[in-house]
Amino acid sequence: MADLFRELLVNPDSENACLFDDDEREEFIFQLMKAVATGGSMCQYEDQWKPYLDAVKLTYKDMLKVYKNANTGKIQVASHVFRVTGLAGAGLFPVDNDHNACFVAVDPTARTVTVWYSAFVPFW
Amino acid sequence: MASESKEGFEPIAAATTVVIEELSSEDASQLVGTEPSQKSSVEFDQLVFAPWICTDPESKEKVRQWYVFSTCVVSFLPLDFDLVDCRNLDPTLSLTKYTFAGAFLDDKKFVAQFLVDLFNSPSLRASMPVATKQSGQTSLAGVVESVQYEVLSTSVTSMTFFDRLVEEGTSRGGFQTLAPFATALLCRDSHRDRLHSQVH
Repeated sequence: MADLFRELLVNPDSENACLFDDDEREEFIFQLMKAVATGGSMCQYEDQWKPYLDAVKLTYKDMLKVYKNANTGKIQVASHVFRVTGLAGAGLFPVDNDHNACFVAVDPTARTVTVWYSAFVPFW
Repeated sequence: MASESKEGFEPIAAATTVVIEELSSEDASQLVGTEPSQKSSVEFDQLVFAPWICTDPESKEKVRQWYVFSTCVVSFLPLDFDLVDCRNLDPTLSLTKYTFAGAFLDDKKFVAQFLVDLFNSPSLRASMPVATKQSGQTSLAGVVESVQYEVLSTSVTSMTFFDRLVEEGTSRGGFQTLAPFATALLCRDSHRDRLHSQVH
């Protein structure tokens, strides 16, 4: 990778990989940041940190429903999120690649499903 | 939809007023009536989801799941998915929202069938093209028999989750001129990174 930030996201052996443990890497927001920052073969990096944060924040808010737990007073996420890696019987991604992403967020209270699909297609 | 403050995300105000705590099957049965199985799903929704009874989403979901399980209305017939227009959803990102009929259960078998139904639904196939090897797009073809998926955690409710990148930078002298650390991490290549480390 050309920069340390994206290396942190995709390389578990990165010297900065310890900043996020395994559980945190399975967080939807981390996977979202990884998809936004690494993206497809034509993805161009940003020199600034804020555009990444803004993009992830807006997408995260679009896909999830949150509510305040009246018992604990804490904000919680009501949605269930799944990362779809393949379909038996149909081709979801043209090639197998770690940068393929298909997120399905289900809001059971509003009965809505939000799907984000992003396939990695080699440039060459 | 949620709004965001400095601390993070906040829910809509209407979702915080009334709570049904630890709703038991007996309580829910009283809400529904003597024979919940004889109530239609619509009647149940009108009764239990009336604002004066319960406005807490978590409690609503508990009631819904109790109802579905207790009356055995769970079926694995294909669910109906309808495409709905949604604010801030960017078509260039293939970010699409659908509504579905029926209840959603946090159950492994149900989720597997739910996803199969979703990817077989005409609404999704008409609105979500998939990529081809030739950098083109096509609609999803073939009948989906099963879906390989992973469950992702959603415990994070604030963008402060990424603040550690900034905090880490304060302890690294070599990055101080490029603080916050996240910016320093965005150095274009490792040579530039090493150069900064040598200068400072």
